[in-house]
Amino acid sequence: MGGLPLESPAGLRVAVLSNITLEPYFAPLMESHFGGGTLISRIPYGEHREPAYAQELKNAGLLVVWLNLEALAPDLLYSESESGELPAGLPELLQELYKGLRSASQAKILWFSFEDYASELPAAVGRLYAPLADRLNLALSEMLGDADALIDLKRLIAEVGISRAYDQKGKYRWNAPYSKGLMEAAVRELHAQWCVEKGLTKKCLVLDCDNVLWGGVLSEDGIENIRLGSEGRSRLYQDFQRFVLSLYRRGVILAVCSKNDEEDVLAVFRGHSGMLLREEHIACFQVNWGDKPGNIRRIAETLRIGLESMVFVDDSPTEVEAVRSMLPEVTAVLFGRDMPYEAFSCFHLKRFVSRESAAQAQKRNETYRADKNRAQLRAKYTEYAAYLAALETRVDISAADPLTYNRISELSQRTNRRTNGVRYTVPQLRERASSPEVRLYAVTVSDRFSDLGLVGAIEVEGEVLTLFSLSCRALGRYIENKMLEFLRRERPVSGFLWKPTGKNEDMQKLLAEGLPGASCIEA
Amino acid sequence: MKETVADTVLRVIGEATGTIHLTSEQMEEDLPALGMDSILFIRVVVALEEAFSIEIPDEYLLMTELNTASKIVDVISAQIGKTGGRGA
Repeated sequence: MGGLPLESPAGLRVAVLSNITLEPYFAPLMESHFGGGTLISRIPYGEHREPAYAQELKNAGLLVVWLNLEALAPDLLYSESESGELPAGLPELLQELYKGLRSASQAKILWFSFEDYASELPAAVGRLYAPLADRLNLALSEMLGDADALIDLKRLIAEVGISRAYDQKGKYRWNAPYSKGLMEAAVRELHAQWCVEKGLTKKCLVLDCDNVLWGGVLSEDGIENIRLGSEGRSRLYQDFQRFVLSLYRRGVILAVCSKNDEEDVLAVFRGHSGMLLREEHIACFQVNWGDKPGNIRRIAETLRIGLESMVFVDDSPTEVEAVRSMLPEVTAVLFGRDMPYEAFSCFHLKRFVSRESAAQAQKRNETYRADKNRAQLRAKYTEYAAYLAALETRVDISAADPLTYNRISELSQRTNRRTNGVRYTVPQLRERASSPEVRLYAVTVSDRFSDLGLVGAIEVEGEVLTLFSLSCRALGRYIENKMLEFLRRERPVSGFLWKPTGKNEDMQKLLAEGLPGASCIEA
Repeated sequence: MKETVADTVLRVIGEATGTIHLTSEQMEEDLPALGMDSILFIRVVVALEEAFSIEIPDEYLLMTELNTASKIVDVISAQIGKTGGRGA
C-alpha cells in the first residue's frame, strides 16, 4: 500500500464488469486495500444495459473492466493463423462496449489488458511469438486514450509467475481462472492506479550522494576518483540517476541531503561528465555535516511541503534508521544494488505523461526552486509584510477556460488545507460549466521570481460558493484574502459549501469571516 | 468428532459470509434463504477447504444441494474420513 490514507475510503462504489468470476478473493482484497465500506457491484459481461446494472454503473466511483480472452473467444488462443490478425468483429465489440460504458458512467475506467498465457498450446508447439493478444491490447490502449487506463495484466502474470497465476480448480468449478496470488497483484495495482488518479502521493525525493548518486566517498576519494559512468560497477549509479530523472520528469521534486562540503557536491553536479542529474534538477541542496533528520526537516521547511510527502534514499542503514525513528512520516529507503524498487510506487506516478503535463510538472519544480530564492529574500526583511510587498505578488482571478479544467480538477483533488473540501473530476467540471448558473474562476499567481501558474479556483453556483481551493504552494501570501475580496466585490454569496477533509477546519472559519452573512452549508 | 466439525463449519460460514451467524440449533436452516448468494457460496466453500485441508468433490458444489450447515458437515466429515484431512 502507498502509505497515504485515502480521502474517503468508506463508501467508494466499484463496479466490476467481467466475464469471469473474481471471487472469492476480489472483494476481501478490495476492502483491505481501499478500506472497509467499499461497495463492489458485479456486472456480468453482456448485461451492462440491464436497468439494475445501468444504475450501478451510474453510481460507481470506479469502474473496473476485466475481460478474459479465453472465456470471450476460446478458439482464439488456439488459432493456427500466423498473422495474428484481429478476428472480425472483436475490435468493434470492444469499441461498442467502451462507448456504452462511457455514456453510462462518469467513473474512471481501469481496464485489464488481454493475456494469452492460459493457452496450453506453447507447451506442445513451442514458444514462438504470437501477436494476437498484443494486437488486441494495442487496440484497447488506443481506444482508452488518456482518459482511462489499461492495466498490463501480462506483466502482472509475469511478476507472479505463469505457473502460479492460474487456478485450474476454480476455473472449472466456477469460472474463476486466476489464483489468489494473481488476484492480490491485480488488486494492488488497481489501488495504485486509483491513487495515481486521486493524486494521493508523495511529492519529494531526498537523495544522499556518496554511494547513491555515485560510488565512493567524495570528501575522501576526490571528484576524479568517484565511480560514475556507463560501465561496470559505475553503471549502477548512473542507472539509478536515470531512474530518478524519469521520476523528476513525471513531477517528483528532487532534493539532496548529504554529509559533504557543499562546493564539492556542486562541483560534481556541475562538472562531472557521468552525471545525468544536474543542478537545475535539484530544488534544494542541504549539504553540510549536520544530522540528516534535521536537514530533511529543513528541506521540508524550505520547500514548504509536509514531511509525510517525502521519500529519503540513503545507502547507510544507520542514517535510514535514524530517519525512520526520528521522522516516521518520511518513507526511508535503503539504497543498494538489489533494492526493491516497489519502494518508489508511493509516488503514484503516471506511466505516460502528456507533453503539457510534463511542462506543468517542470514548472512546479521550478517554482519550488524559486521558493528557495524567496526564502533568501525573506531573510533580508524582518517584517513579513515588507517581504511580501518586495515579492511583488500578482494575483489574477478570471473566468476559467476549458483548457484549465485538468489543472482545476487536479487542484480540487489534491488540496486538503485551503479548500472547502469539494472535489471535481474533469467531466464534472465540464458538465457544470454548461449551466448558466455556474461561474468558474481560475486564480493565477506570479511574483518577481517565478510564475506560480494556476494555483487556485473558485466556483459559484447561483448565490452559493461551491468551490474554493488554493494550493499549499501559495499559502502564507494572503492569496486566500484576495480571493475572498474578489467574491465580496464581484460575486456576493449567501452561502458556501463545506466538506471536511480532516485538515480544513480553519478554512470553514476563514470563509465564515471572509464572507459576512454567508451561511455554511455542509456538503 | 462430528461436534468439532460442526463448530468449525458454523464459524467458517460466519467468517466467510460476514452476515450468516448460526447456532448449533440452526443446522437445518436454508442458507440461500438467509442471504447466501453464489459469491458467498464460493467464499464459504474455499474457506472450508482451507480450514479442513480437504477438497469438496465438484458434484456437491451446488447451492441447492449444499444448502444447510448440516449437509455441509456431512460432506466434510465424509471427506475427512476419505482423505485423512486434519479435522478442525
